[in-house]
Amino acid sequence: MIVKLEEHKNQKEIEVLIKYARMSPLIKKLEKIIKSVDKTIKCTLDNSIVWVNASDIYYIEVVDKRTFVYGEKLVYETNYRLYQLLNELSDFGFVQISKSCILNIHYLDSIKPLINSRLQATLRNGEHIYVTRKYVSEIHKKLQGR
Amino acid sequence: MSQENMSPKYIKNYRGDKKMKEKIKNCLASTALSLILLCVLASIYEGRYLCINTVYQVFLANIILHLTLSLLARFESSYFLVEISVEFALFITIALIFAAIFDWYSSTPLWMLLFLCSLVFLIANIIDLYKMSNKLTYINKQLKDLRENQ
Repeated sequence: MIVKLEEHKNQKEIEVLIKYARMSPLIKKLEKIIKSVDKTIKCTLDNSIVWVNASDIYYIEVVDKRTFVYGEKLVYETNYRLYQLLNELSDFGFVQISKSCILNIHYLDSIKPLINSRLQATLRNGEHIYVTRKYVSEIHKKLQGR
Repeated sequence: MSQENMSPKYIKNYRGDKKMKEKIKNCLASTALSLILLCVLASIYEGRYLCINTVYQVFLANIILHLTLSLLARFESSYFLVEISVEFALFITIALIFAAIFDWYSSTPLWMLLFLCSLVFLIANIIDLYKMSNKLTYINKQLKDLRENQ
């Protein structure tokens, strides 16, 4: 793969051009990854509106009917419901891991079973979240489809 | 036809079909397991044959069980033991209801029915645990490969 960067001072918007001989799953994957950088979710932080990039979201959790979006260090809140976010973000590597949580698979480091039969997912920033057994298949399918 | 050429609606239907196929496969597998264990127990008590009606009845019981388990999937508890206890209670309840409907008690004592159900439940969960363990191994390997490639 050859990656080139060209500076055009008159260019208003970032344009990404992928040249290929034949469409393949890799090309589709590249397209999804690039689009995910641009995909944003409207959130609030300290009463101000913030547009958070999907690629910066680690996981999204619903607590007490409120939806929280977790970045590497900051936690935002959004008015979207979990199922709406899953519909929007499932093509960008997000997968449901429990009834109230969806995870960005790109930030998943490992999953291990605990003594009390629960499953613990470790994220790249060291955070631990719990995975319900019923949703392990979803993670498995998401990684198979990569 | 590869997935890249399919429309999103088609992919959604395709995934729905796959889930349905998996549910049917699970139902047939649990029916087979129930019948095999029933035959084993029957042979211990010198049984010689299994009625065809019994096969259909066990199949129907498994269909209802799997449908109910699909509805129960919405129930989630932070305690695994609570979840498994609810599933087991549902399992036994459905078995007892079908036993009453199809008069299984005339040929099978209650304790044997409960024992059989417990055995099926236990074996099914052991198989599930084994599949889960394989999936986790695959997941962790894929994640490790992804980290190494970055």
